[in-house]
Amino acid sequence: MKASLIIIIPAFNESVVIKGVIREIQSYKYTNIIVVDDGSPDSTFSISKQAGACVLRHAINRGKGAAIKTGIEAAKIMHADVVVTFDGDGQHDPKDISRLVKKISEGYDVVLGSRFLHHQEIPFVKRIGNTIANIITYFIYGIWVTDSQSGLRAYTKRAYKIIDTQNDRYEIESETLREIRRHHLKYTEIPMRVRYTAYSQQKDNRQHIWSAILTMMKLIFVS
Amino acid sequence: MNNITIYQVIVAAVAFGIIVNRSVRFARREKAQSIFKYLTVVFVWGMIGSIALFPSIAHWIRRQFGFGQNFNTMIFIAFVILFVLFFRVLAIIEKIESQITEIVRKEALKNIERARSIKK
Repeated sequence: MKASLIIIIPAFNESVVIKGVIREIQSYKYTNIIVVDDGSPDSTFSISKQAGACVLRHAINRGKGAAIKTGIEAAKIMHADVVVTFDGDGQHDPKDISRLVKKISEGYDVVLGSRFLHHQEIPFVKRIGNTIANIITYFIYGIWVTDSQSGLRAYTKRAYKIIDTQNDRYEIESETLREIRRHHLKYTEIPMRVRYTAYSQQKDNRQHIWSAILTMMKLIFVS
Repeated sequence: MNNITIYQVIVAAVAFGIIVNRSVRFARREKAQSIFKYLTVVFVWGMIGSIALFPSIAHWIRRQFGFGQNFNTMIFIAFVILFVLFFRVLAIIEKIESQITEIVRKEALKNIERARSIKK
């Protein structure tokens, strides 16, 4: 039996690109797409619906982590075999989905896309920010990956059911790594293509160094 | 009261202003003004204003607590208390944020019925 695959797209104010992102994924014959509109004041919700995705809507903005968790809760309800998380700003390439799923079929619980496993044009600031985040993640969680902040990831049913994240914002990427280690999940990284467009670069809600430091403090003192 | 500096007057004036403001709001029975909050504000700002005008109060407190000449210990303890309070407040905010997210999520998942037709 072919495993059912659900693609979760967290989206906040992505009305400019979300239709293109959904259509591009659909062109690769992936039909089970859940867009979690994270309280966007723009028309992300209606455009995603028109494009044929299943759209869930947060009444107010709660952050990328919260949106992904909502998508995963939906996947649980729908008994998906595999879940792929995919950014809504168009920087991910749907071609990589099949490669993630292939690794899952090889027996991995979690497959992480990595921007840094092959040479490609990535802004210097992002490289530095990611390196710092990797080091912080390693020292807090004891798990080393080349791209701790990648949003392109695939999970088996077993993995997405036991991974329990609490943070609502961008911390979810690092928190997931903590869960992988905590539950001894089998994971691997694969190279992924990333497309930095003027649009994705303009968005001001990316995780930055200060956010990473704040995350670290919260995880140490508050959690 | 000798040699009162401008900073002492400003701090005392701010403290007095805040206490008057809170007293008026409490007297008006404003919703957010509980008796506990009101008394805490009066106590904290009352102490700040009093110590600003009469620094000898701080020395009296120091003697009562047995810190002797070691005034820095008092300041250190005050910082520790503030630090603990800060993270306690942060933890409470995190908990409330998490509860809000849960409510928002439950509401969002009500719309999942359409997606139940997923094909295997």
